[in-house]
Amino acid sequence: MTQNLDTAVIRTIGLEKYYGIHQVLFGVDFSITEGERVVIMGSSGSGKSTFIRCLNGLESTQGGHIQFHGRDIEALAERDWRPLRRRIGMVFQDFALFPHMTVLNNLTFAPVREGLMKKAAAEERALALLERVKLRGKERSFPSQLSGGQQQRVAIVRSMMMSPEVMLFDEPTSALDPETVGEVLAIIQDLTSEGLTSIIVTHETNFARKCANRIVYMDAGKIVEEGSPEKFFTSPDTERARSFIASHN
Amino acid sequence: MNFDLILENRDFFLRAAGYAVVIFVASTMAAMALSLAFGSLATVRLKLIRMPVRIVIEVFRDIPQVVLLFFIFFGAPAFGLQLGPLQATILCLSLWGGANGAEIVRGGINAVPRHQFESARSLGLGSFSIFVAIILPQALRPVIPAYAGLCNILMHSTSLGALVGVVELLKSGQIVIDRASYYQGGSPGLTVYGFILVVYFIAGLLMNAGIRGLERHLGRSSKR
Ligand SMILES: Nc1ncnc2c1ncn2[C@@H]1O[C@H](COP(=O)(O)OP(=O)(O)OP(=O)(O)O)[C@@H](O)[C@H]1O
Ligand SMILES: [Mg+2]
Repeated sequence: MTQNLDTAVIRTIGLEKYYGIHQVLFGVDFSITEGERVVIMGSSGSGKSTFIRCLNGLESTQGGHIQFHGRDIEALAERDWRPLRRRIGMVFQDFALFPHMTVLNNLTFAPVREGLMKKAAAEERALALLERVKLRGKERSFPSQLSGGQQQRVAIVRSMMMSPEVMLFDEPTSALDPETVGEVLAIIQDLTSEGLTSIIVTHETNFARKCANRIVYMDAGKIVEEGSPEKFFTSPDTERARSFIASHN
Repeated sequence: MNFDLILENRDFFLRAAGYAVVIFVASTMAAMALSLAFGSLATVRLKLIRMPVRIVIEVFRDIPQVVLLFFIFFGAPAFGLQLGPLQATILCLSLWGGANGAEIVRGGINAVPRHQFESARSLGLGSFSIFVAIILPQALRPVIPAYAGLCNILMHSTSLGALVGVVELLKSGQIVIDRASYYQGGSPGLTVYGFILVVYFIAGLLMNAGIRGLERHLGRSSKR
């Protein structure tokens, strides 16, 4: 194993995923280095969500490897995934805040329950992060009292509470009103501009152009093209990518 | 109408009401524990656990309370178990209530969106923490009305104890009526059963008011 030479934080090698007998990922080779921002694009059903869900163990895989800092993790037991998931945060399309907890409790529950922080320290960190996403003052609110954009910002902060090394975003703005998409993207840009390694699945081409270090284009369960945003959006190599870009502009 | 009859038998009725309360409280508590345990087990992924649990729940839900009571009371000795009338009634209502409550709890758990489980999992939380602190609170709040309905039935069903000889309210009424008509002639049935009816009515009223209060309280704290 070339463990020490490998600069990838996460790498997949020939990753395969089946739902029952239905194959969804057909050998995905992917890697991301520290501080990189990779945007994954692709048409609906191409396996983007499935792929990033595999990266933090929400889905089992049936072939190939997932490596985290060079260590194979695809066959870990659920118990061993748990500490890893704190290092690989995930934000979902539908926010999935805990509706029966206040914003503050949503943020502090996991780190306190998992013994990562004392309650007072967790609350202090939560308030500082809320300040950063311009939600200071909402800590006593319940999720249902917030707009979609505000809820998604809280969900992002909830993942950040665990101080992850990598963040996975699965279409973080797809469920939002057009007016609030911008505020959430701005937050993601702000948080990732300090070198937080992140993989972002999104259909927002402007955001991808501006923010991504690299675009990965998936089609039918495979990565068919990847490269810099300029290259991808102006002169893609594949016909598939070209028609995808045409239909998303 | 002869209200003196009620007053004369005050202590007797009070003791009978006490039995009814004991049956109700004991079987409601036990049913609640069974509901939570079996309702939760009925939602686990492992089929080897889930299926038998669901079968047990279904069986006890499908048996009429009276039949179950007689089976327990008269059948228990055959299993080497000596159960008094009070114990048999409590056991019957606990099992019946537990099975029906488990079905309510199971429905509540299954109605919690899947993404709740996943987002909790992606924070590195363990299954037990997720279930107790994330899933259950969300599952139970919406089923409170259904569960309250079950508690109402259990309260009414305490009178089944009369059939195996528990001197609870209904049975005490019968005894008072029998005694009165033997010694004084004429049946005070209307008075006595009217009194019992009012007692049940008031108890039910109080319980439902309490449950509504609980719901309001929980509603305020979540503002869902
Ligand atoms: N839980 C599941 N069970 C069975 N099939 C699934 C499941 N989840 C996804 N699939 C299938 O896997 C394929 C890839 O789905 P996936 O959700 O990963 O696509 P996607 O690229 O994220 O699409 P979208 O842009 O619509 O979110 C699809 O054909 C989908 O129907
Ligand atoms: Mg998706």
